[in-house]
Amino acid sequence: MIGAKSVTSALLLVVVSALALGFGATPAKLAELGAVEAFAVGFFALLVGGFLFRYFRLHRRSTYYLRHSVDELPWGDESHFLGTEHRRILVGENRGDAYDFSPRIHYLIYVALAAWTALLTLDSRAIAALRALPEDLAAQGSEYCPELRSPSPTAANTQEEPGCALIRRAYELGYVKNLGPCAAITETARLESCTLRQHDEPILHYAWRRLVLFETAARAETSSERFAESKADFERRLDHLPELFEANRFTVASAARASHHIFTNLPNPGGWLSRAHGPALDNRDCETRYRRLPSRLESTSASRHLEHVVAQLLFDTRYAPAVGSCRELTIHWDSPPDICDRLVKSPLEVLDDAGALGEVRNVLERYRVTAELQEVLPAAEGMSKLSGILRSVTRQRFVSFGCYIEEERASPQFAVRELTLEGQRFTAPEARVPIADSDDAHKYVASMLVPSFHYGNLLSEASSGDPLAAGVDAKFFTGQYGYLSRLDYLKDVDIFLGHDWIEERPDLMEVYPYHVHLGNYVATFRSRYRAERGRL
Amino acid sequence: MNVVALLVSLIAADHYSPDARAIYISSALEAIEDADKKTLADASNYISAMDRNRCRSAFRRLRAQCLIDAAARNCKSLPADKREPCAIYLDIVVTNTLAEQQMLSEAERHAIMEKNRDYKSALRLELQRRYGSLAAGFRLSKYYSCGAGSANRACLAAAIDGYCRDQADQQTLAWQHCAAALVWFIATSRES
Repeated sequence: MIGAKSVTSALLLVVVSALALGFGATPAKLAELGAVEAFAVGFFALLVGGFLFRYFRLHRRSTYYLRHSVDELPWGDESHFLGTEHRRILVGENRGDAYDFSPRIHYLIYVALAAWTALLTLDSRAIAALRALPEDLAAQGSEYCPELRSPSPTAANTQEEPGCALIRRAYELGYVKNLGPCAAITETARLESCTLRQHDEPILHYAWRRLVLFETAARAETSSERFAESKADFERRLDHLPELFEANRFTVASAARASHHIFTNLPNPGGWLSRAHGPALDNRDCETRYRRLPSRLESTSASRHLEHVVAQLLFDTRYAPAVGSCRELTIHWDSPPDICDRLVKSPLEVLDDAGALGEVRNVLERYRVTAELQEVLPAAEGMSKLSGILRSVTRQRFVSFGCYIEEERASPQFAVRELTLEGQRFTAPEARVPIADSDDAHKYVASMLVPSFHYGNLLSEASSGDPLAAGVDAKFFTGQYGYLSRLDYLKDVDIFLGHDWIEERPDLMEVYPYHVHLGNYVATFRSRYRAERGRL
Repeated sequence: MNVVALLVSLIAADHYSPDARAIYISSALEAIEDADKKTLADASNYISAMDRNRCRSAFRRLRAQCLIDAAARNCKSLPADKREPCAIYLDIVVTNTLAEQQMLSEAERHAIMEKNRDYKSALRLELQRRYGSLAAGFRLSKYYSCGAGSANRACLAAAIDGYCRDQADQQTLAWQHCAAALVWFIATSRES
């Protein structure tokens, strides 16, 4: 016979010790314990072990006992607890003749149990928190004002400045009257009042200050002026409830912030799947496709080339930040050559046929709603990236059209057409360019996207303004010496300025430094594009 | 060195065709490998001195032209059999000198000069480290599939050409700067 309390204690000790040795009390973890952590574990074990010892009345004998029985009938009031009819454990009421651990052993067992539990649950984060406990207790939960540094001249720093030693020497000899940028710089202390707790401030004083601050804030929030202001704001919002609902709908639905459309007579390069699903499929992963494009495509279709040039000019992030979202630009392939005429005559019909009318209307509506809300609600300024200046920006910035038509012709022709849509005037620049003139594609597409864009000598990276008035030509790349080093002259040949001779030299085009001139062209174009087009 | 092939390619109209480029790179590898260390060090110091003094110019075309002329003059003073390799390895040195600003930015150069008393050696070491990094990228690229040994110099040259074309297209490193850096690093490493 053994008391139930003793059996429970022994079982718990075995199980928890096994778990602790298996997971918690590994040598590595024990080695990690410092004095503070070991103290915390011991303190926890004594406290919790003592509490459990008292709570479960382990200083008294067990009320019940357990007895192992083999082929034996139960005694008096015993009942079956575990096992079969022949080999079983019986439970009965203890009248003092069952064996029990002494109270001291019970206490030790429960302290050990609490210690093992602490070691099991103590992870690195808890150890760090325990380690920081003394500092946290000393800080008393306050956030202190930063220490003031006394402003001092940073003479030591200026001594290290390149060239300062000479200037200082000249100053000492009297050749210069002042040290200029090498003079000792005095840091200007910024005077700011700090309302956090001062380092020498008693906790009660700080608490009182916080209370006063709270009271002031509470008074301000419950004043009649504040109430009137809140009421007026609520009424304003109530008056513009449909606009507020629309604005939230646009945000939640991630509606387009701009809608730009290029119509071209070139065929869709995306294959039957793209033709069947429209531009949505092409635009799905456009950010990834356009992020880092090769400088040029070799032997590709005119359609792919157009897409490549448009993406280079607007979205490739290698040279400059993208100037919009590629999902908001749609190229409408297979358009008829007179698409711009049709667009001018009946824009609604053309856009509807192209599946673009819904998006265009959404962007125009978003513009209207945002601009209207900004008129009445100061908080609505955050609804647009343009903030408060949105009202002074026209709709043409966010909705644009362009036509790029390749046809049999000797020279390109550009025109700017005008159309009226939803009561607003829009322009539709049209570029009609010769077939297979891919060398000038950047120029043509740039002129279509921003008709006012001009790229000339002054904007080029080529050093055309130097004393060598004559430009670099083919003869610069021949000669017995400097086969590789001569190629540096290519930096002075900007193909975007129209050097026809180099376009007839495929060998030089293969080693052409596109990153210099294309990068500059794209950056220059984007700065102009940003001035005329953008997102809400 | 296939001098005849090299001369033919230099005279041809497609001066910089892939074949001509590969032949030249192969010749450059050979010229640097065959030259002794002191000759290369002298050449490098000479071009560096010219760049800092006589060829110093705000206009890059003037600077490049001056360095090319200086290299040509230097080689003309040598015996006839040494002129051809001299012109080639000096071309590599000049190209690397012109590429220094792309390889090491002004800020990086300034930082190195501030930290090191012997800044010239430190700059040279840093450049060599950049070349090594480029060469490691080349060795791991799809373009490199050549075995060891000088028999595969043509293969190596074609691989350098292809890799540097890719670098010029995908990165912001001019083809000639990439090729000259790789040729210099690979040829001088083999020598040591």
